[in-house]
Amino acid sequence: MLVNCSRLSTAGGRCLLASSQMDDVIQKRHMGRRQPKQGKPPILPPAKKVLYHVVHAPWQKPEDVEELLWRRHAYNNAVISLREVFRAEIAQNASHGQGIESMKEAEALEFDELIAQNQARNDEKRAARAERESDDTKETKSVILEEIRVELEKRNAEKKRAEQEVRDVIARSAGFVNRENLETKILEALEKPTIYDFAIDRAGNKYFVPEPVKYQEGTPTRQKGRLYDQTLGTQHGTMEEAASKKQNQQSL
Amino acid sequence: MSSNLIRFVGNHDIASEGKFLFEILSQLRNFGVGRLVTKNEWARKWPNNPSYMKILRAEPGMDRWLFEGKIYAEWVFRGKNLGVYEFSKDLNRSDWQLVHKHQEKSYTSCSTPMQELVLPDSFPLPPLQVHLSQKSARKNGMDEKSVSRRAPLLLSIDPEFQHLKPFIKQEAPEANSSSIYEEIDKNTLLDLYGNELPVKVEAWNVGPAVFQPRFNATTMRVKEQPTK
Repeated sequence: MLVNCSRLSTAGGRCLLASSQMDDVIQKRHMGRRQPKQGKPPILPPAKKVLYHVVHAPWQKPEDVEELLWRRHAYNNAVISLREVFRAEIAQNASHGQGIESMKEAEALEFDELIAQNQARNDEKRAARAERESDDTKETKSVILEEIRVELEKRNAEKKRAEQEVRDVIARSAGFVNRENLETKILEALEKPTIYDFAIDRAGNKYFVPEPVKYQEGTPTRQKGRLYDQTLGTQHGTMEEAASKKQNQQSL
Repeated sequence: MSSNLIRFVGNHDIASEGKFLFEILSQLRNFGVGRLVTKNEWARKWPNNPSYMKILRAEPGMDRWLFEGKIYAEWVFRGKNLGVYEFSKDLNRSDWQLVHKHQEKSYTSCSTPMQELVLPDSFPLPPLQVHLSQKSARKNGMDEKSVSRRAPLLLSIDPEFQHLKPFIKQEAPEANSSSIYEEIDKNTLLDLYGNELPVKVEAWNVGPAVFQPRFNATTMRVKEQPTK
C-alpha cells in the first residue's frame, strides 16, 4: 500500500489513500437529538442577583493595618539579619574545627559505638534465649513422654478387655448355629417350638389361648384377637402366691 | 425606574480618577517629551511633597488599549530628584495627570522635600540566641562576655520601595533595648505609605514582598502564558 501510494503520489501528484480510511469513519452527529444543557438558557440575561451583586472584600481595621505594617518591616529586617548571624556562626565553628565535617565524624564514631553496644546486648540476649529454650525443650519432652506412657497403658487395658470379651464370646458360642449343626438345630427347633403368644399373670403363670400345637391341623382360625380374655375375669395368681411359688422353687 | 436614569453599580475605584499615561502622551506633541506628568496616587499620599516626572523619551507599544510601551523620565519623588527611570510596568492604570505648562513652576516648587529614612544599624539578638552563643563559648573555653548581644541590621527592602534606597540611612540607635520593635521608629516606616495605608496586610513572609501576577491583562490575549 505504502509503495503504491508513493508511486501514485510521485506519478500523479496526489495520493488516493483516503478512500479506505473514509469507510472507518463513524457518524457521530445525532442532529436534533442532543439533550439540552442544564442551567440557564444562554438567551436569558443574567439573574438580578448576579447582575447587581458587588463583592465587598472586608477591610482590616486601619489601626491594625498600621501596627502590622511597620512591625512587618521591622520583623523582616531582623530575620534577614539573623540569617547572616547564623551564617557567621557556622563559618566560625568550621574555623574552630567544629564544622559540619567534624560533626559528621563525631556522629559516625558515636554510631559505631552504639552499634557495638547493641551487638553485645544482642549476644547476651541470644545466650540467655538458648539456655531458656533448651530448658523448655527438656520439659516439653518429659511431658510428651508421660502422655505417651498414659496412652499406652490405656491401650493395653483396652486390649485386655477386648481379648476377654472375645474369649467370653467363644465360650458362649458352643450353642451357636453354624453350618455343621444347622440341620440338627432346625430339627430341634421344630420339635420344641417357642411361642410367645401368651398372657402372663403376676405369679408368672402363662396362659396360652388357644393352646399351642406342635403341628397345625386343619384350617387355622381367621380370628386373631381373642373372643374373650380369660385373664380379665378372675384374679389369677396373687403376689403372695408368686412369692410362695418362688420359695418352693428355691427350696427344691 | 425611568429609562434615562443611570445607576452606578459597584465600588468606586479611587485609582481611576485620571487618565492612562499614553492616553495623555499620545495627545501631546512629540509624545510629551519635556512635559511633566504626575500620578494622583502620589498627590493623595503625600500632598505636601510634589512628585512628578519629566518625560525624556517615550516608546509607545501602540496596542489598542494604549497600555504597552516604555517611558524614560526624570523622576522627582516627594521633592527629591531620583534621576532617570524607565517606566514600563503597570501602565494600565488610569491614574495619571498632566501638569499644565502654566502650573509647572508652582507645582515643582517644594519647600519641604522628603526627609531621609533613618533606621538603626544594629539590633538586639533574641535572648535564646544569646544564651546558646554563651553556652557554646563556654564549651569552647572562650570568654562568655565576649559574646555580642547585638548584630548588624541588614535591610529587607520591598521592591515597591527600591527607588528610595539612596535615601535610607542607618545610624546607631538612640537608646538600646531588648527588642527591635522598641528601637525602630514606626513613623519612619509608616511614612513610606503616606496618608493612604493599604486596606489589609497579607501574612508575613520572610524577606521582601513579592508579587507574581497570575496573568497579564493585555498580553494574555495575544501570547500564550509560559507553563510553570
